[in-house]
Amino acid sequence: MKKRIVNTVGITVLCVSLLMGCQPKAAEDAQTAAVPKEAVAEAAEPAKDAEPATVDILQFKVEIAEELENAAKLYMESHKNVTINIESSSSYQSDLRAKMSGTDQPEIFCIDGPEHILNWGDQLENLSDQPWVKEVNDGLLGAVTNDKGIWGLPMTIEGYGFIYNKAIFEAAGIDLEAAKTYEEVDKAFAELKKKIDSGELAEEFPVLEAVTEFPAGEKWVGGLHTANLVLSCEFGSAMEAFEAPGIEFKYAKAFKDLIDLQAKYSPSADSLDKLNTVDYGQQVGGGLLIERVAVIQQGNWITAEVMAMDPAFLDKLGMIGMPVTGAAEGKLPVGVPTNWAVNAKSSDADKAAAKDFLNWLYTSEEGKDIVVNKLSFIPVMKGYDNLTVSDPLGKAIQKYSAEGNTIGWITSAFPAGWSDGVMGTSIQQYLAGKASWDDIIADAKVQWSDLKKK
Amino acid sequence: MKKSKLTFWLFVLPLLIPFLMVVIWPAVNGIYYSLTDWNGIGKDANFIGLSNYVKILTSDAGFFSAFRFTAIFSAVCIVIINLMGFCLALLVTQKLKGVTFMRGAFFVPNLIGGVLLGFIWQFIFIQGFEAIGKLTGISGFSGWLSDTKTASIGLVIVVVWQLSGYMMLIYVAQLQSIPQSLTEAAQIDGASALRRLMSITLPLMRPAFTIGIFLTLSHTFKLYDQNLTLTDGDPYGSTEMLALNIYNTAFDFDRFGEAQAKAVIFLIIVVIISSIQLYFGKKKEVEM
Amino acid sequence: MNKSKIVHILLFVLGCALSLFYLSPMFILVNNSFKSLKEIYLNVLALPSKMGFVNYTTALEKLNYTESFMNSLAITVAAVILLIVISSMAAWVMVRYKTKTSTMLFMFFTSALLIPFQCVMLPLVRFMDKLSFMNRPGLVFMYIGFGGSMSLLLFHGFIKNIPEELDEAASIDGARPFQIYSMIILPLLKPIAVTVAILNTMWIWNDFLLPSLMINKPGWQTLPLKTYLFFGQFSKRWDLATAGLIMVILPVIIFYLICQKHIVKSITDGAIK
Repeated sequence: MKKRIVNTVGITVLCVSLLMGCQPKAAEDAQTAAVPKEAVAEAAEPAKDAEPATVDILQFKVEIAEELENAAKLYMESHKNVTINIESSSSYQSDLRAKMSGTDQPEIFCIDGPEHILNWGDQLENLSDQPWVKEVNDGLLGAVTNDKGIWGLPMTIEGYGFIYNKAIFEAAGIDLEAAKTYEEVDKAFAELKKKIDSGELAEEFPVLEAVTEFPAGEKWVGGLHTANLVLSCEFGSAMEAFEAPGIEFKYAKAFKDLIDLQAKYSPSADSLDKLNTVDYGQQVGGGLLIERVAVIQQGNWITAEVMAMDPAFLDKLGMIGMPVTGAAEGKLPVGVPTNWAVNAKSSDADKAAAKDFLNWLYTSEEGKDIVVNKLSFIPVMKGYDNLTVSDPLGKAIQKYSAEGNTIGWITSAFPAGWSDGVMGTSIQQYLAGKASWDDIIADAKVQWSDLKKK
Repeated sequence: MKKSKLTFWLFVLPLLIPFLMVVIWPAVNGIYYSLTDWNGIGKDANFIGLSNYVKILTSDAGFFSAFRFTAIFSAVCIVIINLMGFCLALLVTQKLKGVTFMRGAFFVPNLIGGVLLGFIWQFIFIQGFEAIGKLTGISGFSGWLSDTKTASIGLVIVVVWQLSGYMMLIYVAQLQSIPQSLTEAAQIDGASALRRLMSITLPLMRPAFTIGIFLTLSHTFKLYDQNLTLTDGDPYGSTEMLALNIYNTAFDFDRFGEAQAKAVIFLIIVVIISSIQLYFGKKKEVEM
Repeated sequence: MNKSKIVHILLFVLGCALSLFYLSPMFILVNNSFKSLKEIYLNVLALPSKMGFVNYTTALEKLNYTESFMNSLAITVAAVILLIVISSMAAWVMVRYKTKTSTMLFMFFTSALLIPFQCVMLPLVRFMDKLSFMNRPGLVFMYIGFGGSMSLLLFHGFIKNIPEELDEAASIDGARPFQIYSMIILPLLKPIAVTVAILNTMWIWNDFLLPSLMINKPGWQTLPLKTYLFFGQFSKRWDLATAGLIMVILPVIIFYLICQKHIVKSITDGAIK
């Protein structure tokens, strides 16, 4: 018995010493890197910024984690004094708060717009002197600019609308691309529905069961995106919406139409409450991409899912704008989902390295190539002319942008919690028949103002 | 054995120190934050006295419905899980073929956590049940998670499925502590299996039941993962439980102070309930 | 004799049926781990069109399995062994000392089981950061703090059934308290210690939130932290996630099966008299 106890104690001590002994790789790298590499730097080139720096990046787009790490590696090869750690988090909001309340804070993190600028306040570094600022396309800095400075670098552009399967519409002989107004879209959907129900398309598309799928279980789809569509018709910019005392919901009727449209052509048209359990996976992977439905409300980010499932499917996809009757027809909401921000409380060396990395990523030739071809971002600045976005959804966004047929994103001006906790939940109530549309709109208005007050 | 105070503290401190530092001190800190308007961001928090508490107790319908739902849910789960766990424990301690396999099978659900658990069960409830519904023509099987009542039952099924194996393990360990000589003697005296269960096993299992009930209470009251991944409080927030409500208040609505106040209220209520339970459990143990 | 045979068969059938119910989600998991993402979406129940370990090899690589496995292993082993020793020590004196302090302390520990983690999360990070505990030994320390209550509760209940005469006899023979604990008590705790080990192992092994807050640094990551990279903001790789998860839980299942023998053995050993 004694022996066994000794053994156990031995194992424990071993484990603990193992844990103690192993420094984080990053720190180790930094230490070993710092000393000899300085010498190397001195020998090779005039030591411009040989001061060792560590840049921790916290971001929430888990699907770009690997490529971003590769980009960081590439950068570190030419900047031996810098160590970049990328942390991709699927629980970003709580992780960021936790990290920020300690001393081990990230140097680069993500902010969406005015609401976050207000929250993080003096934690944000003013980036208005950065070389990329003048390159950024018009209007894209709106959500991160105020009278005191510019607080973020737009990560990418995203756009959303009705993404549809061209092959299905072609087979049915319907031209959805030409449909601009609500009536036209409704008519096209009705025609397709008729053909699906009659079994005309069953041979070519055996799994096809309905025109649309609406994921009310994913509260952000209705509560954030559809709501943004109608609210950006009401306000010119995120800043304007943020400073306004409340919302009018001028286009509440068009909002209702868009939800109704997607609900009544869905497989659950007879019992709409079932839509409340439909999630992103069922809508995209298990809906559009297996050809169970023909149209969904989503954005170009679904490219990641298509690439994982069936890259060839990309060519079948097209995207049209969602009609807001009386305000926007044939227009696509295009905007910046989030921005890179630099932590003002970091050390000067770390801050400089962080800014330099972002600058390198978005303006150097190496970096631009990564941005477009590896991270699959749509460029936010000038100077990307020789790099073309290859996927059809990205192209559609560029086309709408070039034609000037876009409307803005003002989601970053929504009060915290409003989109999911209020609007998304209310849409569920509406679909389940527990509340009328007028009631939920009235409630959403009141809650908006209440949440604004804090 | 001489019972010196020094010995007592020497044996307790290695556990007490991490416990105080990791659980109690942050919790006390949390009580302080419940008196502020902190949004969980940055360093500035203004002291606002009891207004968070007043606000929650007077005008937060969501918190009360979450509380009610959690209480009912826990009560139902505690009964089913412990009953199930004890029956499983009895089953796998029989001299049967394949008990080793069964014991493994009942425990396996504990190994699948987080998102995947939600994914699998969501699939079973949404697609699996739908298929059964179509096959049998019973409409009750479809839309299982989109109705408050059936969604709650779904949640109960998942939690029972997961935790009954856990309780089984605890009860098996306690069943071992019952001296075999006792049951054997009773068997020789001609007592039936049921009789032996009622008058020997059950009374001796009382301390284990106290522990089991307490652990299930703590698990179900704090339930978060399964709630988030299976229903996320849907439909329209009607299956939102306390932990999820607190979490959303803190990280969705950026109201950390208010969330902490909710946590404190929650804790006070639960401590009251559990002390009552422990008190009566203990009393019965003494009586026997 | 005949009647008990029928009862036996009935119990056996019942046990098998229940096992199937408990295992069915596991079957679904294993089944889907061999399928492509498209196949999973088409029909979760259908069998894979062709057997292949592509998902497994890809997941193995993306998880950086060897490194993450070693991290998980070292953290779990250290935390579980320390938890067993430290909490059984505390439980023993708390049972034997029937003082007010002892009872109060026990109540204190157990009521803390009811504190939801989210409530202490932010203050905890702040405090641990101040102490420079945001590393792997620090994480082990936190697991002792969080796992202590449940372990204590279980040991406490078990030790109550061990007659105090044993301690006293040893004490008369001149044993010191630590000797009594390690020579007399600890060996008797085997069934419950194994139980505590299992329960803590699967919790710590699968834990995501605490490591994600404390040690989410390259080189330090545990298996669950890596697994979550399959769940993107907009793309959930169920194909890789199912295969990855099976590889994550396999070691725990093996551990459980090994431990099980020890619980079973003790029935025949009659370790406790």
